[in-house]
Amino acid sequence: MESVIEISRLTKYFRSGIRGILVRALNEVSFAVRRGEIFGLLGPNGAGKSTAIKIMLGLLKQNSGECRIFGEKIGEKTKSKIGYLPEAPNFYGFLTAKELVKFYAQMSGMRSADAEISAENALSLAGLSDCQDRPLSTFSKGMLQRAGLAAAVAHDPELVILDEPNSGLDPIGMSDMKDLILRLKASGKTVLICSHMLREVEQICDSVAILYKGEVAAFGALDEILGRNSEALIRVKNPTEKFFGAVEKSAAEFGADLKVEKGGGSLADFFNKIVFERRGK
Amino acid sequence: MTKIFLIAKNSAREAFRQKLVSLILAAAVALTLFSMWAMKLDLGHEQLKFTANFTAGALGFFGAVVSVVLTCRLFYSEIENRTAATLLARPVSRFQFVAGKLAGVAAMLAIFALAVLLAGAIPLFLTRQKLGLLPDEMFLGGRPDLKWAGYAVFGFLQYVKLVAIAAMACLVCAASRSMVFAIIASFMVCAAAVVSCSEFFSGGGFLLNAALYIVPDFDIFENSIGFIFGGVNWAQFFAAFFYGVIYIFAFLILSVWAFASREI
Repeated sequence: MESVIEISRLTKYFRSGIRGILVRALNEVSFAVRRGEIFGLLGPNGAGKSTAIKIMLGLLKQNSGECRIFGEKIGEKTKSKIGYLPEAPNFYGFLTAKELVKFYAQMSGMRSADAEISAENALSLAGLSDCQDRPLSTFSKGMLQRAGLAAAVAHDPELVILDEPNSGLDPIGMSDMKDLILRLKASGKTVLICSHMLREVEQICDSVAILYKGEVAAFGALDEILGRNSEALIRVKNPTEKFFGAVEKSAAEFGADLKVEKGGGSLADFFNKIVFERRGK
Repeated sequence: MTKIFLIAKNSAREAFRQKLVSLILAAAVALTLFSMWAMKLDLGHEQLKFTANFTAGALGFFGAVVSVVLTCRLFYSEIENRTAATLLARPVSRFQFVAGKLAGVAAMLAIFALAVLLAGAIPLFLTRQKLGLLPDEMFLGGRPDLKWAGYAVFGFLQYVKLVAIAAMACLVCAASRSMVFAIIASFMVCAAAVVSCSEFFSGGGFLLNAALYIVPDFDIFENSIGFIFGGVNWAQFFAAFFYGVIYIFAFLILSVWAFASREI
């Protein structure tokens, strides 16, 4: 499948302090995001996720390596196909939600009349139709996040980059955000999510890359890295020890080496395993 | 151009909401109106010039403060609030961003200059009325004649000067790493321009002498106060106007160049 984002051996250094000591934010990072998938860019704080996103958006320049979006280097043309929701977005408080979304749609190259219609549609999608004429200064954090998402998708981008989309959202808001992201995928868009909410990421992502201290610690399809293709997971409510024994005995009769354990591996378990392993290195 | 206009519109709206700017505008208008107090003094034929100088002083001093503070605040708030990152993640060039910010500040400065000039016109008008009642023999050098067209052209040139100051502050902002540093550095450059460069940098080394060619000399704008009484000298007007416009564009290009390499 065609790659929308191709990151190849990306390295980025920052100068820190008065003496300008070089700090490595990304070290030979490589991964690819395929068209139409939901991709999770994960990692603990300081792993280099935001740096990678900023390089993808052309806000930072890498020291070495390559970043291609839609097969091209980042530029005006590629930027018009990207929608971006920053972490904890801070918008002009004096604008109404509709003015904000229209403004960003126009900044992405839409005409005023088209931008107005798109703004209304995007706000409706984000569940903000009722308060589209209210100034953003009166919005809660969760509402700002929704307005930010509306601004990110109003110009109908092919690639949507969401930096911590669940930040500041209550459980209902998170559920709505998950539905919105799945709707984006259903409409053929590629979505890159940068998040700490592993449970939500696990539910919606097709592939993930886990960054740790500027390096890729794991990358691949979620089913593959969690071993879902080589193992089967059977969920049983109220299992008893007698049940476990009976299932194992009957599997042995069919020649299967079955080990029944309570619970199951999750992305959170996998993430913690990877991070603790790296720390131990 | 549409993107520059939209950024400028938002910047101007943000500028109107800055309480500090409203306070400075109020202080400038108050000082200008205060010159009406001069009507109680008996300064003879110099009274009209005294009143005009009050307006020029208020516009020059408070205008420079507004130019520097507003530019730095609007520029840095975008970077600190990360709205610049959201904007520049779109197909918006760094030139469009900087030009839009400067245009927004210029729009606010136009309103500031207009308000101070209109406030200044009141005491000028009243003083002229008062002097008009006096007999001709009271004026040894002839009755001073107030030219309203000259007053408007003088105001326009002062406005061009304020935009040039904003463009200088833009360059300092694009190259500096903190708002406080940007404000202080901008005021220093502004002071150098107002207090005639040659005096400011006299006796300096190579770098300071080189600065003479970078920092504009605002004396060229100050001389236009003579237009208020002597009428407009168009050659002088165009010289000052193009001098200001060239500096505005030069600072804008340098700002974009400095901002282009900046990591947001």
